[in-house]
Amino acid sequence: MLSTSKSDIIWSPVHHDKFIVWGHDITLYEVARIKDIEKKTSYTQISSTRGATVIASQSGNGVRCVDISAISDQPDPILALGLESGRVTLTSLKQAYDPLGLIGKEFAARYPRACNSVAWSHTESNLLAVGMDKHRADNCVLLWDMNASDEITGETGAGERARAVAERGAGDAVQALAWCGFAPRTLAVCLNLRNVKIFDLRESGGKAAGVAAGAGSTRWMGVCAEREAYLLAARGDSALGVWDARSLHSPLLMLPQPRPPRKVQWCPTRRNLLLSLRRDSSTLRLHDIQRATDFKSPEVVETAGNDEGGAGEAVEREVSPGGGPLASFACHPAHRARLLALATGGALLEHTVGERVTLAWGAGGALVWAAGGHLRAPPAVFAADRDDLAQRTRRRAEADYGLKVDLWQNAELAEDEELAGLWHFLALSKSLVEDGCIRNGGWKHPGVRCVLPGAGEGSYRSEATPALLPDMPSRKVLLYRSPERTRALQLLGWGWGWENALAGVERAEAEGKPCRAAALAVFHLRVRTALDVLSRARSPRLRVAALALAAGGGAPDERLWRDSLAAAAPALPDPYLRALLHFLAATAQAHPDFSAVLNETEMRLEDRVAFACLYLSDRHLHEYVERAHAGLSERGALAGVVLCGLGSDGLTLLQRWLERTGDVQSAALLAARCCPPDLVRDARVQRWLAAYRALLDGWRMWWARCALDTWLGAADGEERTRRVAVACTYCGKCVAAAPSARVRPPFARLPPPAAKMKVSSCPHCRKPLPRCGVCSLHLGTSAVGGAGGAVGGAPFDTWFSWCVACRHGGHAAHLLHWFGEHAECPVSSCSCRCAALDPPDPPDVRRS
Amino acid sequence: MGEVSANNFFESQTIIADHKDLIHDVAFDFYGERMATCSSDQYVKVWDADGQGGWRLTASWKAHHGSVWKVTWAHPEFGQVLATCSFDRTAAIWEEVGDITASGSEKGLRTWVKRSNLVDSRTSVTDVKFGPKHLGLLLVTCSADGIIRIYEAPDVMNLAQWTLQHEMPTKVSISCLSWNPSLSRVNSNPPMLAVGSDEPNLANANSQTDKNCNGKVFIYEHSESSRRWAKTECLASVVEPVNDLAFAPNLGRSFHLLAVATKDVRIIKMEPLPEPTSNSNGCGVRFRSEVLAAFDDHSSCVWRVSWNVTGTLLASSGDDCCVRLWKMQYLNQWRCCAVFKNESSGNESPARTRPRTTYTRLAAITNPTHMPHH
Repeated sequence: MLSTSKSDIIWSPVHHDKFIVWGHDITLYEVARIKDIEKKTSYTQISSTRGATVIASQSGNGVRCVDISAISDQPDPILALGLESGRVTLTSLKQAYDPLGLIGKEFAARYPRACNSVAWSHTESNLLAVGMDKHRADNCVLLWDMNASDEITGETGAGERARAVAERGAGDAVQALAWCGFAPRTLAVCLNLRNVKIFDLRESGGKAAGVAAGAGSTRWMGVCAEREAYLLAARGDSALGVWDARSLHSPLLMLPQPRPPRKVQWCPTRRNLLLSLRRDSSTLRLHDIQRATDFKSPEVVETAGNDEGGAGEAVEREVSPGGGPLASFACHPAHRARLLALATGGALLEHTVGERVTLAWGAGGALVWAAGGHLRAPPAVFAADRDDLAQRTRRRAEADYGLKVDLWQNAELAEDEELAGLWHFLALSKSLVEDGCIRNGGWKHPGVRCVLPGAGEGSYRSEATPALLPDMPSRKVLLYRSPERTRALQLLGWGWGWENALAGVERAEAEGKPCRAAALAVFHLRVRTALDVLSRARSPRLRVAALALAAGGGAPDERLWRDSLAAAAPALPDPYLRALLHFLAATAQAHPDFSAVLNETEMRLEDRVAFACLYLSDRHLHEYVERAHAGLSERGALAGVVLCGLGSDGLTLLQRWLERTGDVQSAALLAARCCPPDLVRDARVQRWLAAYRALLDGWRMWWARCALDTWLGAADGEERTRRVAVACTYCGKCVAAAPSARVRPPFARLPPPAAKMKVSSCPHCRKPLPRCGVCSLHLGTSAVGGAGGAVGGAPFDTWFSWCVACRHGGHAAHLLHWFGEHAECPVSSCSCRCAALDPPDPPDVRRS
Repeated sequence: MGEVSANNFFESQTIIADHKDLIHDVAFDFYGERMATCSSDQYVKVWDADGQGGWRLTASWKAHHGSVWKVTWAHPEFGQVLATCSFDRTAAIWEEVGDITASGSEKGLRTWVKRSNLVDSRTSVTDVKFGPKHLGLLLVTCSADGIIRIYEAPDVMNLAQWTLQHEMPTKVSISCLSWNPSLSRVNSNPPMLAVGSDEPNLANANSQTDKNCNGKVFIYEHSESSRRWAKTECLASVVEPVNDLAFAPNLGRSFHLLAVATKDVRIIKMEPLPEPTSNSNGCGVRFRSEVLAAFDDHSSCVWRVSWNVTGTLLASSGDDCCVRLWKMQYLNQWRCCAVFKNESSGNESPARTRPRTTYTRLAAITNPTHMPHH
């Protein structure tokens, strides 16, 4: 019955790179990386990186069971073969050095019958347990000792019979046996298809040390024991049974199986993990045995209830190594989660079982995940390598981003061109509002749309004046001007007139953007200046562009020039160059069409809109601004703030931008710094602020958070309001914020010594303040009120400080000193452990 | 979408945690400076950052009589408080206290004391989470028999007293849950929970499952008017068993992002719809949900997902023993930006035939009387 389907795979317990496969033949394989295997040797690929080479092979005829010994100092694994005849022979499959003289040894039972199971002990590697079929009343469990039997069998050969060290199980038949892991010389044996018993070979007498109960009607075929633990598992034809060797009277778990399991094995590298393979299955099943309790004495469990079912539970998983139905599998003895499966076709498949990996992300940006019983973290280089928003936000917060007094200073910290541009614009619009150039009810940061009223409101009319190009006398364009447009141009950074524009040109050139400088000059009709700028440019290609520009000025056939320009413009690298040439081409026409310039979306929005302010009629300008704003608002592009200003439209735009980028820090700070107070109370802004505060809290950046709140308070128009105050126990009024305007020194005639006045009673009701728990004096602060605008208050040493649990307190300095040496409250008879209420200080704080 | 170039693979560092068995959960405290781990060896360990990128073990104790599935920190405003849940059918609240017996030099030594044991569940408690702090000291647990329980500590100074506020039975086994972290005080969003079920899809299960929705992710919301929690949504896009889910930190967004670990890594955007009318019986659709990304790079099964503090990076772990990071690109496009191999031998790439592991489920307890007596 067994011989037809027998085929198994066994790892050597000591040689971690060798295993045997036995079926018709017994073959010893060695595993190596494919790249380490010599070219000519043939190998079987077992995974993408590893291959197995055959070392030796012999016929498996008549062999009924095999096990590999755990004897360590052997060059090759020693096998014990259990034969049909009842003999057990030792072999190494390969002729090799044999220091112990074990190879070729034979052990035979008194009466010949089939040998069903052999098992080497892993703790005492000289012991071999053999399980036999039934023969009358003969013992069926035999224990052989390699060392002890040496003298007897050494030369006399097969004629003289060696004696087993121990024999058990008279009159029974053994299907399988396994060494138990919890004690030496203890065997778990599957007897007569009905019982699973434990034999303690240290005791004399043939009785079993324990019988696993609840086996029921299942026919038990195999047994295995967990290494160094108490769990036993047996496979039957309809179930898997799991027992705890300490409470065998009821199974821990009975797992019904639709098909008889073929092999069952405990994972040697992880506790409580049982692997089983069903017949004709292409998947392995992993049973993670869960127990709800430690071992309890049998009486306790017995009183708890009847003995059906078990106290365990298994988390089951299916693992498919791939490659169709499996014949057998073997866990690697040392490598975690590595197993080798043998397909029915003979293919060998190596597989690593993935464990459930848990992971978590800390507020500081640390990522850890679990690998079995240990944790892993990404290497330090990783954090530096990736620039995530979380890191950028934190870096900026540490640099006081958004909190600098001057708005443009924040632009330098923004680490983002779009954001930097916005901060610069806000700084500009703020200065314009403060200078009175732009008056706009309540808006701190108006946009272009605010200063250019819509056409329908009819509030302004621009005056169109024809202007000549000084360097190209044949051409002229219409320039529009009005006070509103002037303001818009100021907002956009151009300013009205060539004087302002020239400054912009020089700035752009200094910034290393000669194309923009040239375009600005040409838009102000100064082609000569543009030529100068381009000819000064470092890149030779720009000087070529200057040539085209010059040619355009004096070209005899303008139509030809225009056509060639239309063909060449898309090839130009710089949007400003393209716009510049488009503009020149357009000016040559009677009714110039500037759409090519206005649609050059790679130009900065400010420049496009400013250009429109110069050359578009009122209606067209309005349309253009509205269209641009709608597009930017839809996309959530920050540049749109230039058009709409930081008002309610601006908030909508910021919200979109935030959802696109996740940068709540900038959104919160922009709103806190630049929005009028009624907009700060908008639900969206409050949400941003709350989220950013939570972030700062998680990073322990109290200063940044406090500064943010201070800015908010300032924006609200209130003088820095006190958020925390100490109130008098008796009158409930604030102790510190004394009515300083009316406060008079108690002894008016004696001048207070350098404002170092002590207040040890409530300034309102004159009741004394509580006493310090350490020095027993009344608490008092220096009389620093708000009258002189003095910031900072009393020195820290005299601050009120108390425990939130027991409400005892005192002077901050005294308490610091006290808790430096004690954990308990300084007030006698109070056993509050105030110092232990907080989390332990991080070590860097403790050092300082 | 998730293609990975060779230089995206990273070797990882090991922290020797020395748990005797599989670690089931890792949790950071609010500041990211303390870490708690729990394992099948029934122990919980607490680690403190040493300031140089390393972790120092400061406490280790046997917390339960079974595998400890999850561990979670309360907001530091409530003290140093942990909650754990276990196979032994209980959840426990732990508080750190200074050692009573120590004196002098040993006064820094701290111990964790069990403040309360929540024993209402009849089956394994699969997840536990503290609520957002503006709701007070709330705790939610879920169990394998599908009951979600919400506890509240009426007095935050007394962690021994927890009242069971709500009990919501679902008909399916619940494996994980997540609070919506959005700050509801300014958001006018009601408190919201997402729960995920690991109930396997049986081939002929149509008769058993819910008639109209066989999704595995449910949204529960607390209604202020009826003072009850009610299931308001079932995400129909997730139909495979769910192993983990997590709401992203809501950084001012007008929508919620939910990451789901199922057959694939899934990122779902939930956009609250404006209330059609003020009737609060909750029958209408509350959200427009949209699957932003679904990555099956973890061959077949994803175990855990976790967001970084800004919700711009998502980490996921799965069957391929890899940890992958997903990064938000322009316009809510997500892309894999790093892969960490778990095995130190970095050349162990998946075999040709693409091995797979499928998670079945927890077997039922055959005899509850054998469970430890509380």
